[in-house]
Amino acid sequence: MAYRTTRNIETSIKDFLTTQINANFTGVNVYRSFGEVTGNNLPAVTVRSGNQNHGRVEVGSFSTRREVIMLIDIFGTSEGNLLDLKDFIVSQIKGSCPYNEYTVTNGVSSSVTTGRITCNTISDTLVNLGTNKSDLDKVDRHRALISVTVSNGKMEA
Amino acid sequence: MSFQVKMVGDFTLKEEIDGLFLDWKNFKQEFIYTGKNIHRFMIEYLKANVKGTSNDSGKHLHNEIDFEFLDEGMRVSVGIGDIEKLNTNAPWWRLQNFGLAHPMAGRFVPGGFSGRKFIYDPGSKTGIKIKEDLKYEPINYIENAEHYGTAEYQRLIQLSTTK
Repeated sequence: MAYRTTRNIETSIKDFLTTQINANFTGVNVYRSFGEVTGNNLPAVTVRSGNQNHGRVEVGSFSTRREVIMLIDIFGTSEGNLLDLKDFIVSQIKGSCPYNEYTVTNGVSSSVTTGRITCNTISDTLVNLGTNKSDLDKVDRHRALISVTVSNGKMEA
Repeated sequence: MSFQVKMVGDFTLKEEIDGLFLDWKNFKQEFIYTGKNIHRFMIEYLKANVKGTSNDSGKHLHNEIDFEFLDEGMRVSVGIGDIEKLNTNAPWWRLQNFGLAHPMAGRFVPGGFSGRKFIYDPGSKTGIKIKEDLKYEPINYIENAEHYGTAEYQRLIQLSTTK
């Protein structure tokens, strides 16, 4: 089964960040789902996609080019760990990363790189839940959210 | 969340100024109209994604998100959601947006049941213990609305400058 564009973008960014983070940090887990993060697997990063805009490529054409917002949650073990991870991810994601097309056959995933994903805008927010940090579980004490709008540059007929 | 546009320039010819001001006036109307669309998008997004009533008083977060615009002549801005008002009337706005990976894990919450509904009572000696696997999934309605709004404003500016 071949993944469609949304899952290809999500998985490409997740795989790219996993490789980059593992090369520079030790013990950081990267997940797709927010639900996978617990107190036992910190520090952790999750990569999810949000809503998408499909702009027409030119007047008179039905073809579109999509722009996706990627939401990257960072769960640190301390304030310092959080800030380092956040800045590292920003520095990696602000350029471009490979766009892979994934296929899963009999439970085995394979991919082929067919382009690049480029970052259009990027913003990061330190998550303030309006509660004293001591009242929060350790998972939620040191969190940041990076929102990135990306495009794979491909025209969709 | 807010968006703002300011017109700057050094104009001398009266006709040029008159023409520009007519365009600017129309642009401002479109800018505010687009802001209202973004506000509507955020409300609909919240309605579609928030599960259940947000607190015992029956207040819904989407009813507390205001839309405001400010026309200062050469500058126009729109604002969606007043943080002070949200902090007072719907302080859970942050939780809905950012989620909680581990809300009150294993904690005792005082109160009792009225039928199937749990009523929070800070003074009660009875209560429930929150299960550790409960999570608050993030909705990210602010980031999603901002993404939608940025694209809408880019389109408006493109249309206005290519006229």
